[in-house]
Amino acid sequence: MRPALPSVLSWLCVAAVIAAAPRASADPDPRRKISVLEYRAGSSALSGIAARVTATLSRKTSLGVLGQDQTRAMYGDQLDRALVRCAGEAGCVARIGQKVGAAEVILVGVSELGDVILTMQRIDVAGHEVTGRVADSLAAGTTPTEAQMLGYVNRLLPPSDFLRFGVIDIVANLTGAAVTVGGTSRGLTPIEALKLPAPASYDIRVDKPGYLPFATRIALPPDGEIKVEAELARRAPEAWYQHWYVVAAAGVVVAGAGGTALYFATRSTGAGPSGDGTLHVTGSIH
Amino acid sequence: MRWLGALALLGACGGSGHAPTADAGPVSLVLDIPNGPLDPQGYTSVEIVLHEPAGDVTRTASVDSNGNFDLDRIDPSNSVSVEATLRNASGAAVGYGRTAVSSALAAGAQITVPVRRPIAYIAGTGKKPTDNSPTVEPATFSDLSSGAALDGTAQVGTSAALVVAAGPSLYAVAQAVDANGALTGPAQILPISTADHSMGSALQGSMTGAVIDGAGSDDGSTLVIGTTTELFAVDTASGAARVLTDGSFARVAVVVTGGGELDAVAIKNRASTTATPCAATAELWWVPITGGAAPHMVATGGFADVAADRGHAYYVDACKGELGEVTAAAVQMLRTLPGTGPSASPPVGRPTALAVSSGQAYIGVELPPVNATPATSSLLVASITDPGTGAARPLWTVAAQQVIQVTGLTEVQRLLGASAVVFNHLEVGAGGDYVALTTSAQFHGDEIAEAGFPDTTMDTEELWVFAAATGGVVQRYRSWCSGSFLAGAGDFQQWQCAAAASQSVPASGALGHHVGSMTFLFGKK
Repeated sequence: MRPALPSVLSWLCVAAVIAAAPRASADPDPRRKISVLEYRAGSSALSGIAARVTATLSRKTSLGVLGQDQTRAMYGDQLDRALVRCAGEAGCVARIGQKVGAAEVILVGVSELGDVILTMQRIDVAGHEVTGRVADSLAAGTTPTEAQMLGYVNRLLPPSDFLRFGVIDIVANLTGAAVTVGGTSRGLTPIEALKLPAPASYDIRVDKPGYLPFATRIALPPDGEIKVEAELARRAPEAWYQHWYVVAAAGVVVAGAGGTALYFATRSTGAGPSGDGTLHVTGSIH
Repeated sequence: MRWLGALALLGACGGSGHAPTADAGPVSLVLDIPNGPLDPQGYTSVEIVLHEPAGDVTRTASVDSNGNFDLDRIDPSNSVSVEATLRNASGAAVGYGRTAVSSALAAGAQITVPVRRPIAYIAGTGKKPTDNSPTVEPATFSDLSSGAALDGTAQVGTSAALVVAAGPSLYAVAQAVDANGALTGPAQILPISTADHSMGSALQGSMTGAVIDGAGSDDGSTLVIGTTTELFAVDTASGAARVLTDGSFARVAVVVTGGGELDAVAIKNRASTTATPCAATAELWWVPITGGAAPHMVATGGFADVAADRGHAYYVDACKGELGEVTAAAVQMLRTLPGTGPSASPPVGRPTALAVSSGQAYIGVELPPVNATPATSSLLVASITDPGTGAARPLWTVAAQQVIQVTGLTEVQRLLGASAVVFNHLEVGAGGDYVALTTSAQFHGDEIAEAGFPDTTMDTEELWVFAAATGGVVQRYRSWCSGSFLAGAGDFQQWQCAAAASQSVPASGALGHHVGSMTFLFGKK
């Protein structure tokens, strides 16, 4: 249990993070467009592997993922010839990504050197450079499991791409009511909408002396927004529970996905969730 | 030391962040480069592999212009060894290193990983261009991070019979050569700076017998050198050379056992791999270096090469056609190799070279000539960790041929097929990004008087380096080509070796040399 540090140190921390590792710690837009392309060096193994990468990314991230077919529809039928001409060269592949408006290209390569060699390169379209790379050697005839596929993309893309969020917007009929979400105090109403990791369930409580407490539990979907309308009624000592629960249940409105762009655009770019027992590993070359 | 301050503040950030109560804290990873002209250059990302008891954790991060990177959050571990690969924008490895021992990944830890460029070094004897007398040449090297073709002009020191790497450190073994080209006299160890390739002073110890092979420990503390008369351990700190046991040791490997003991595995009385019938007279020895146990022979057989990886030692038996594991007590066959061994159909190959890295074994196989096909070398790959599944698969095969041409009349050429090809060295570099091997081949052509071709005998030696991810050849360098001609009156009198397509050759005849050794910093063999 660490004691809280003075707020002045927090300011120093922010300055240090910005100065020390701006590229490493700046999370890219988790909703950016990514094109997944397949390049084969004379191998017919791992049929459909790029489509599986596309499906995994679509399922596990909020990225706008363009599969090879979608990319071809935007780029034109000459996509496959262009890919072959690129021969895996990052700048050349980046130009394909640029033409379809992608921020990054995931180039899935399949070759055979005895084993089947599967490589995935993350190519930054603007920088024309490879920013991440994973490779695996698979025995002939085997295909990666779903867990392996997820492992590959987890290694390739920043953890922030896999941190999905939803938004809980808590609106009370009173000002000055204390809001607690998931056991953490979130201040007094009115409060701004909260961007929270999703999917997850959260206990929400809104309290104000003299009023019946409002409490509910919600399941927050990724990329979704849930509006919670907390109606706090004057405390009636007799049978108060007959009122608040009903009010709370009626007050939860699922606004659905699509209203979250503002929250993502303004979210913090911190180093991910802390307090989970993991270590923050940084490095230096000297 | 500005970065240290930044890291300290990052640590404090963890304490004042979102949920300070259970935050386990910061860890800093220092990639220690030599701070000289040979520093890795052009890297844009770093790939880190943490080897933990529960499995490997791999992270890739961008490296900023100050050399800093952020691997985000990782679970703590009581025991972790670290591999680091620096890559350029094309994904090619431009630096690689690993820790020699495991350490705890815990809050506040600082783990240092030495990192060096992927450079392949070769060294050996040659001939003086003035009078063709034998000499010991400077080592030459191929910097794989630069992509330049090897031509013998990139040299280290003035003479090296062997170059031996011990983790991030590099050493030359200097020895004189007699009139017949045989190494002779005391052999001495000279450190080579991995910052700028400058040579240090010779270590105090010296060795007897002609040096044949060497290997080093990952922590850089120890070299093991096999000579024609003894097996030596060299303490690189004190410079002392200690005889481990007597005998001619032609292949050595260093293994760190689970208990941290340093041992050598070595082949004594290694037979010619082209002898017929296959000679099963080699002795496989287990030689403790830091432990108190006595050196002892484990088995006798057709042992042709040894290798070590992750605390285990392995061998190939050329006669049985098998890959196996050797311990202090016994040998155990792991798998038979296709096309080799007593049950194979002719032409029967012989596995004669071995390198093991990250559970993957690379095996060099020699095949004799058959009918019109010259002697052939091939490279197989097989899993060590799961020998029960999957066959050893071929990565590369080439029938050895050499074109010679008439000096001054280069359109007159003669193609010779090899009568024998022999693997000399096989090593994995940059943590598995590169596989390098050297071969020597013998060629003979009878006189063809009608064409003016004399009776010809040639020897060549080549270095091949492959990119493991693609199988592409990134270097093919013919370091040595020499021959003799019995020319009749009507024959062309002056011949020279031609370069094959995609093959580089010494920039001048004086730069050619035999390949007595080949190694990478942090190489695995």
